[in-house]
Amino acid sequence: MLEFKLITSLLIPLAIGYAVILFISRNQIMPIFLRLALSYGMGMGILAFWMMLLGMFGQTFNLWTVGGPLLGIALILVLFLFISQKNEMKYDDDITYLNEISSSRNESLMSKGLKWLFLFVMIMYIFHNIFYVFWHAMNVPISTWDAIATVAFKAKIFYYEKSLPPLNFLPHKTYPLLVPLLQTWVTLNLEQWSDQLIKIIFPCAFLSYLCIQYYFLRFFTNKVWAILGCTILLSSNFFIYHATISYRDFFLMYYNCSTIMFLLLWSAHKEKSFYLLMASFFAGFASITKLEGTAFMMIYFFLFLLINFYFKGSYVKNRWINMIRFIVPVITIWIPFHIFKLVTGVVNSDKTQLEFSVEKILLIPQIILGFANNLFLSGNWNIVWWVMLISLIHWGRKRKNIEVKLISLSIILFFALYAAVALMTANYTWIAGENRITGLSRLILHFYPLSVLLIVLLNYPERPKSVD
Amino acid sequence: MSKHPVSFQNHEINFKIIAFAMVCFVLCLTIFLFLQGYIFHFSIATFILKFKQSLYYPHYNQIPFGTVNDVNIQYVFMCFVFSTILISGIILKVFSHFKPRKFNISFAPIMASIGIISLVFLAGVQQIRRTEHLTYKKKMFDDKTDAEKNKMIFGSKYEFARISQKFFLRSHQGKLLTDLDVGKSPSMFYHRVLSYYLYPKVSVRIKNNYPEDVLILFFKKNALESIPDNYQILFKSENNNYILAAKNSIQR
Repeated sequence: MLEFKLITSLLIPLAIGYAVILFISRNQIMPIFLRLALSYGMGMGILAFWMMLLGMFGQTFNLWTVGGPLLGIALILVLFLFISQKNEMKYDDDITYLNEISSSRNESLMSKGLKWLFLFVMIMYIFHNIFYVFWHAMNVPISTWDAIATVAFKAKIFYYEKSLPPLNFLPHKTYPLLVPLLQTWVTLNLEQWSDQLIKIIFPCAFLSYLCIQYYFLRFFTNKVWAILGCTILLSSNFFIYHATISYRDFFLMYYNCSTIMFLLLWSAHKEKSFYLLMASFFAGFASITKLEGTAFMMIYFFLFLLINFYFKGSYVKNRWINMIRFIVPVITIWIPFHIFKLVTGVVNSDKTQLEFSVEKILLIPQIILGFANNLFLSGNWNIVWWVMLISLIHWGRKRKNIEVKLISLSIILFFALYAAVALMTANYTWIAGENRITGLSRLILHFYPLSVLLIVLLNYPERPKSVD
Repeated sequence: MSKHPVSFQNHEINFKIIAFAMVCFVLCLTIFLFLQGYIFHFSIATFILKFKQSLYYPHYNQIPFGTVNDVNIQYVFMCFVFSTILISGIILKVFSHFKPRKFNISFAPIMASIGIISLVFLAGVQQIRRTEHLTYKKKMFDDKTDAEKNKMIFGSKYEFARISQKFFLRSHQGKLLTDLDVGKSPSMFYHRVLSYYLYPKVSVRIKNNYPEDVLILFFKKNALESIPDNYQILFKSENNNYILAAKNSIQR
């Protein structure tokens, strides 16, 4: 019975997300697994946003107040689509199969055999890790610091109080609330608190992200390279472990990297507003996951401006429409929580106070060393960052590829952002100071998958047409 | 305008590159396993075991890489990878000098292929460690209830909180008294654990709507003397490290 309730807690946001994706993707064909993966991220984000609004207005949390209106809206969207599409049976290009594998007539039997063997081993590796993540998440109870101290603790408070208490009463009161709210939602469905079952949202996010990345890589490369990309992604111990524990960083990674991927897809297909809208929604959800998500909006906006105004491909009028399409969802999701903090007098956080002095510039070598140690000499990332550096040998051949340039730029911007945060706020200690062991790895996790995307795109032997 | 990538593939060249990279990798790995005996003074089997054992120690803040003879194993592995790249470059140069038509392949993809092969190899060995870790966790956690698992992880802190909850019918506001420095690890974490498991019956970290009428004494010296007269002891551990006290007037 509990298992049934657990599944229901996932199916409802999945249904909501599915309806919204259906609405904004309209006539675009999409593989069902990709649609479900995106529905999960969208549904969870919308659910958390709605719960946040309910809490802000002092409403109680129960299945009817939370799930009811959202399911109602989902039903209306589906009905609207059904009625409007009865008259239009036009279908657009399949958005994922644009890079059909060319016939492999020239491939020898031996190389074909080795390719299939390699694929089989990689798929087994991926499935084994999926099993590991699900087993670990669902059988080992909450035991890690942030889970006990903030994330799950807040979720517990929201569940037993049946609403959002005044932010001033909460530990780490300025922190956004997406993950605790999602765990509260799961508990509302279970009708009892469980230190294990509330973690279901993490392995599901893991699976969803894996699907999104697979299809993204498949869009720009082929099946083999997409699976290789997933294999490389899962080689990171830190990535795998964080998919099993109740930390907000995994969800921030999910929304952050998905936003970047959607912006890249949009840059290759500017006429498909679906990609831009998805990027915008996910950017908004990232901003209500962790404080860093708000800072990431600068990077998203910069990339958007670059793609929209600098790279060719759309008319002037469309560029301004694209601005609206991107800004409105992001701001709509981002602003309410910050207004709420302002209204309740919970604005200042020691983590966001500016503290800059000229002497801090001397700390730059320490910051670079701190990053280097973590990227290249820790057990977090396998040798992924090393391989990314080695893969840059292909830069000459790929320098005209827009996606390679944008991902490289994104990675540099994320490092620059964290370096700036270390220099200009009190967070130096968590990034490169004495407490870096408690914080830096989790900061890098937020954009680690971009290094995997870059490895695959740099090494992929074909020459894509998407050049500027 | 749609942008479909051009799809041409020279499978023969790709196969040559990967095959060459694989052969170089296996060759260098074999040589390295023999040479390591002179550096680390381990047998091949012992070195492989130590290498595998150093690969997966999960932690939520940072996962360390193990060491072999106090040398970071990642450092050792990357030295091996770069040596392999160097040696493969020399081999390619020599072979392309004698058989230019057959070995007319660029070094850049070979270099990147060796990097990826090394990564995949390390991931494979690491997966053995992950499997061992999973087996270990399964032995620890299979066939146990939630309470048994929590007790296994948090010990007396969880047990005390679990027993304390049974004394109350509704929520109470509590105060935690301790001689431990809860501003620093590990006492800070113990405080968080107690607060987490005492909630919702006793709220220590957040203010609820009830007056403060519960005391939790946790590793407090002369704890019994710290309990006010209008409080009664509801439960205490044998060594008085954990004491639950409440006002005489509360309903239980």
